[in-house]
Amino acid sequence: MRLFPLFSLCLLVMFTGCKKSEMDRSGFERAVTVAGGVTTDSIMPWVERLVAVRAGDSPVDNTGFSPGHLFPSDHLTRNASVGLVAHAFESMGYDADTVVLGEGPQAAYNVVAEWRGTTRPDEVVLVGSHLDAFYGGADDNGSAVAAMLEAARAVRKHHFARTIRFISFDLEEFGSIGSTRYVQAGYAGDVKAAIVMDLVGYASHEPGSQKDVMGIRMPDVGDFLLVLGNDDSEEITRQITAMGNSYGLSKLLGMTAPGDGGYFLSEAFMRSDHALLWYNGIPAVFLTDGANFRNPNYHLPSDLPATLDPSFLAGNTRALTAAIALLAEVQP
Amino acid sequence: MSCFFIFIPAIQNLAMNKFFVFLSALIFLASTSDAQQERKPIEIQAGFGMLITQSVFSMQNGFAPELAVAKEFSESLAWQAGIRLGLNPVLPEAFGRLLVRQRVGAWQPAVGLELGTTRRTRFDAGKALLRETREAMQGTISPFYVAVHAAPLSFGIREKWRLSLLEIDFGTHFSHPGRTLRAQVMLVTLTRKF
Repeated sequence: MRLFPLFSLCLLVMFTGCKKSEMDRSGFERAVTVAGGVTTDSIMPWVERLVAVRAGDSPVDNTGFSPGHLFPSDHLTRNASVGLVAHAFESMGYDADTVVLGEGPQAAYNVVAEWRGTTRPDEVVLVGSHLDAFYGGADDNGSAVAAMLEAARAVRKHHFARTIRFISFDLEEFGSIGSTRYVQAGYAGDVKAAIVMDLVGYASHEPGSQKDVMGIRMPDVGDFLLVLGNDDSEEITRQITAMGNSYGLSKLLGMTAPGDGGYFLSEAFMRSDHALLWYNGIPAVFLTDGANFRNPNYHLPSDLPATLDPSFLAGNTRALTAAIALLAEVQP
Repeated sequence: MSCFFIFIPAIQNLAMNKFFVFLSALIFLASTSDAQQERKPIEIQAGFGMLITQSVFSMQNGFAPELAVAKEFSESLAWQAGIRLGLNPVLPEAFGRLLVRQRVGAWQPAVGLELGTTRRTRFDAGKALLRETREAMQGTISPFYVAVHAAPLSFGIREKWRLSLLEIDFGTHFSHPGRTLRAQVMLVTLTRKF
């Protein structure tokens, strides 16, 4: 009997003290103006070019990565994409740098381009999307690379307090190798915030088109972009989601995984290049259309440009660009 | 508001600290509730069960025989210390437990806290896919873990023996609580008092 009051008291203590702060919306208006510079017509051509060059590329050596269901490891290409992305950055006026990490046939070739900040250049906002792909990879991950390139073009018209670092990571499909080596090598030490994208161009307006993600309940219609964060990125996850929805940039659904995101129930949230950023305490958000939980062409030869929703991709590109402008603090 | 949030209270840092406070208070109350202190026998116990360890991109399971020595502080408070082999592969673990036990006739359920050391998050680096990421993620996990322990189906048999079925452990490593989870079900545990 004497334990009951103590037990009740402890329960009360455990479930109180939840924190929730007011969201800072002060930078929304200015950030959204940067998104206005996104040219819708130039996004899909990037996807088509990526798919085209991959068709003539040689597969990556898949030693150690046996092909399996939805894992056609003998059809992964990256060389032509590295060249195309580097050339795209150069054509916009960036100094593109290919950072090679690791050795042998599975060395990772990360393409990096920076737009240097004006007042706090040592603080970096990382924008990442992987360039390797199975088959044509229109959605996975041509859509995200195209969104990143268009955002890179749009932000060149503005100046920002922080440096914006665009990275096309390599070998994500073999286990986020490019981003893992990048973080492990210490290159992410100056990153204050990050946006990582993986598949952002497939949408469906049909009921039942969106599956639940490993037990996590999702809306029935797959017409939204997921914005995933963890404890460290909860605030920017809320901001990016609220800004994108309230200004009609795209239809966004924000979610945060508990802690650093590594709990077993949220393992599905860890499947891309943001994983090691989360584990190293770097505030990062992950943008995705839900991959195989929505797109029936995931990791198949049918992942082609015609299956994408250009207006959905364009909206997501605007939301991305505004998010970059918000985090990098666009200057007047 | 389009955000919604997943919350797992038992593995949040804050909640875990509060849990420790709760458990400490529970043990204190239990230890002071015993009016008469008498010399308690040493107990030897052996058990056999299953152990599951989960971390991101990694899950292992196997059989886990364990051997422990135990002694009661009082009628309702006891400590245990032991080793667990954890088969598939064989990776020994060492642990200590502090238990609160209630006696209702032959029924002697117990609940408590287990602290231990293990390398059981780092041995499965063989699979190439995600290996580098997984190793990087697991590199900062300490070898020490904490778990709650419950023995709901524990029964005294005559004076010298105790039989316990389906004892449960559920815990996580100290560093980055929740990044790893361990669950253990001891199918049967037999205790002999000396």
